This record gives sequence, C-alpha cells and structure tokens, in this order.
Amino acid sequence: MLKAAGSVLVISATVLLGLRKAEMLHDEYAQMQYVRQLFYWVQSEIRYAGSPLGEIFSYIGKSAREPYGTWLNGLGTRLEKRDGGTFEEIWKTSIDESLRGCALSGEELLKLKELGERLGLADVTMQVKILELYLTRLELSMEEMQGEMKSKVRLCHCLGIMSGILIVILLL
Amino acid sequence: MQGEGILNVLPRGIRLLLKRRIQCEFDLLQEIRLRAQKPLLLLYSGEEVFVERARGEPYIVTKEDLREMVDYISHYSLYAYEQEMRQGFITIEGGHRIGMAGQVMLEGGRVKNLKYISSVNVRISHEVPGCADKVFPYITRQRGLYHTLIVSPPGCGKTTLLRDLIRQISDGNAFLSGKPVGVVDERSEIGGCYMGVAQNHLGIRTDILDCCPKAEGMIMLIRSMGPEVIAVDEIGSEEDVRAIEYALHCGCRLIATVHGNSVEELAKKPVLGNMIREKHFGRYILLGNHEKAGEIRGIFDENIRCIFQEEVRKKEIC
Repeated sequence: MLKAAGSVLVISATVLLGLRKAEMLHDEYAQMQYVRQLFYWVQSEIRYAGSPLGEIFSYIGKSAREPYGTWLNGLGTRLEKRDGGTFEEIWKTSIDESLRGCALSGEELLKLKELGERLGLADVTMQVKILELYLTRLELSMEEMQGEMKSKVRLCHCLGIMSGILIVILLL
Repeated sequence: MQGEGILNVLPRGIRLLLKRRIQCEFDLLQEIRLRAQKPLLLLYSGEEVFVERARGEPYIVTKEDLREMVDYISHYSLYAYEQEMRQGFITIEGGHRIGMAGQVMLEGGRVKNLKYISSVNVRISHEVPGCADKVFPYITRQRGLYHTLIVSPPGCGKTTLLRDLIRQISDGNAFLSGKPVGVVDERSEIGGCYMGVAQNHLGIRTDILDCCPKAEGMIMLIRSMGPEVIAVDEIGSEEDVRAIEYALHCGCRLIATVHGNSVEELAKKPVLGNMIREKHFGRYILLGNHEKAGEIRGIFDENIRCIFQEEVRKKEIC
C-alpha cells in the first residue's frame, strides 16, 4: 500500500515537472511576442517623434509589463542621469540586472544585448533599419520556436511521465 | 540649481574638477570651451580662466572627454539631434547653447551632419528678471506695445532681454496689463523647454511652440492660440520677414531680435531693410557689451531717432 502511494507521488511529481517545462516554453514564446510589441513601439517613437532613447524608454516603461517596465524605466533614468559609461555599457548592464531571471532564453538576451551596440548612433533611417533587423531576427526565432513547439511540448509531457515510471521501477 | 543642468552635460572628469576646483558662481559663468588636446577654458565674468588639474598644470581636454560630452548632450541619441547638429549647435535643458565644430559631412553639397567633433562651446543662458524694466517706458504707449526689434551683435544679451520682456508682457506690469504672448522658440533658447515645458519663466499667459521654424510657427500660433503679442528670436530669412508681415496684418504686436551692429546697418540689408524703411517697427533696442553684456546702447523710434541711451540715462535724451 505504502509502495503504491509512493509510486503515485513520484509519478505525479515528474508529470508536474514536465507540465511546468512545457508551460515555460509557452511563456518564452509569449514574452518574445511581447518584446516584439515593445520594439515596434520604440521604432514608431523614433520614426515619428524622433525622441531621444531615454525619453522613449521612460515613456514606454510606464505602461510595460514586468520585468520590462522596471528594465525600461531604470534604463531611461540612467540615460537621463548622464553619469558615465557609453550607451552600450549602460544597455548591457541594465539587461543583466533587470532581465536575468525573465523567461527569455540566453540566446534571445544575447541578441537583445547586441542591439545596444548600434542604438543611438547615426540618423533616424538607420535607427529604424537597425530595429527592423532586430525584429526580423526575433521573428525568425519565434517562427522556429513555434515550429518546434508542439513536438517539444509533447516531449516534455512524455518525459515527465516516463521519467516518473523509470524512477518508480528503479526504486521498486 | 542652474549650474547643475550645465554640469550634467560635461564629461565626468571635468564635472568633478569644476565642482572641486572652481568655486564659481554660475551667474558669472558665460562660456565653457573644450577643444581636443587643448586646455579647458572658462569665460568667467568677461575674462578667460584656465582650469587647472594641479597647481600650474592646466587640464587638457581629451578626445574621450569630447565623445562623452557629445553622448550627454545628445542624450545618447545623435539621431534625435540631426537637424540641430546640421546647424552646428544643440540647445539643452535650460536654454543653454552648445556649439560644436569638427569634420562636416556633406550630402548633395549641403551640410548633413558633423563627425569627429573637436571643439565644443557651452554658452550659458541666464535669466535676469527685471532686465527689461528700463525699456518698458520707451516701448509702450497708452498701455499698448510698439512693434519692437532688438538689435545687437552675438553675446550681448538679446535673448535674455527678450525673455524678460515676454515674462513682463505676459504677467502684466505698471506699463501694460497682462497679454497672451505666443513664442516661437526655434532653438529652444527662449523657454529652454524640456519635453515641451518651459524651464525659464515666461509668464502666465505665454504659449510656446518649441523647436518650430519661425515662419511656420508664427502663422500656426496666430491661427491656433490667438496671441496679442508674438515673440521670436533671431529673424533674418525671407520667410521670417513674410511671416512677420502676416502677423502685423493680423493685429498682433511683434517683438523680435536680430543680429546687427546698428539699425542703420540693418536698414541697408535687402530683406529686413524694407521693413525698416517702411517703418513696420515702432521701436528698436540696440544692445552692446562694452561695459557689460546687455547694456542698452540706444532705443530708437520708427524714424531711427534715438530716444534713450544708457550712458546718458540721467538726461534720458540723446
């Protein structure tokens, strides 16, 4: 009786882990969609208002979801403060500080950091192109992820159940 | 504090040095000049002052200092200041003007932008409340205002005087009741606007069109805000003159500034000269900086007859 109860508990725990992992994949995709939305917003602010980056980030940060609201607000404040460092350094530090624990993968965070190497320079046309390039790369990642999403989710579910059964067999 | 705004755009090293070494009153500070590989210079109360890193050793401005400063001036967003850079200067919060020189980028034979910036000049804008007090008796009549043109070479306090005139006309004073004033602030020097809000005191009845071309702005203001007085800085182009004529025909009073050494000299200029010869302006205020910036060399009527001169103020007649 005790063994049966233990087996049920182990299998339930691994199934939950599998479900959680699948949920994280959905969450990452949703956050990529949100980041795309934010940068469309940044792009339109640059194109139509030609506002400086600090002003744009502070403005968008006020209504952005967490953790992006905190990130953009902090970035805007730091840029307005003008207290040393290049834009690239400030951008990368702020990502490390505010977005480290978010659902975006390390690869996506790296692409986001690379964007900071080219922001703020040249003219409006170039800025818009740079953001377009980033958004295209982001969309490609999203397409790739969506293509693999179903099989990865199924794999997570299966692995959850199978690993539970394997542990139970080994313990018995 | 006014000085904080200026310090914020300076490179960190220079900012700390100025805070530590110079016990300056910002009211007396006129210019800060930075040139790559050259000593840092201040124009302080009309005199050049070298800033020293250590005793007898002047601070030499580096290329990195200038790069850092350009980042700060442009809020890390050079693209947002493309138009201003084309003119060679950017106006920052508080109305301070930052002039720049370096290598010019051309496109179709016209200046597109600047790169490799090697010199930066910070011209500090000052608010001097009350500096227009002495001109009001001469530019008003029966609680009405004459069309007035302020004339002076650069650095003699045209914008400072214009700012105080706007404030007093807008709030009202002993010579006239408060009137709605429309300001077209093409270079953000009059109001020193930050995110659309004036940082300088321009009165309670003042509407500002910030960063707007003068000619277009005057017409926009007349149509949208119904000002009784329109104020613009540094007129000169043909479009400006046409817009001024339009404003005069709409019943608005006009106060403007222009670069020049004398009213007679302006009268000889092809575009603005016509307006002077046709007596569109009722008063001319000529400024100088012989003794100090902002001194009134003379106030003239529409016939360019002097009616006031500061040196003989006791007589109040030339």
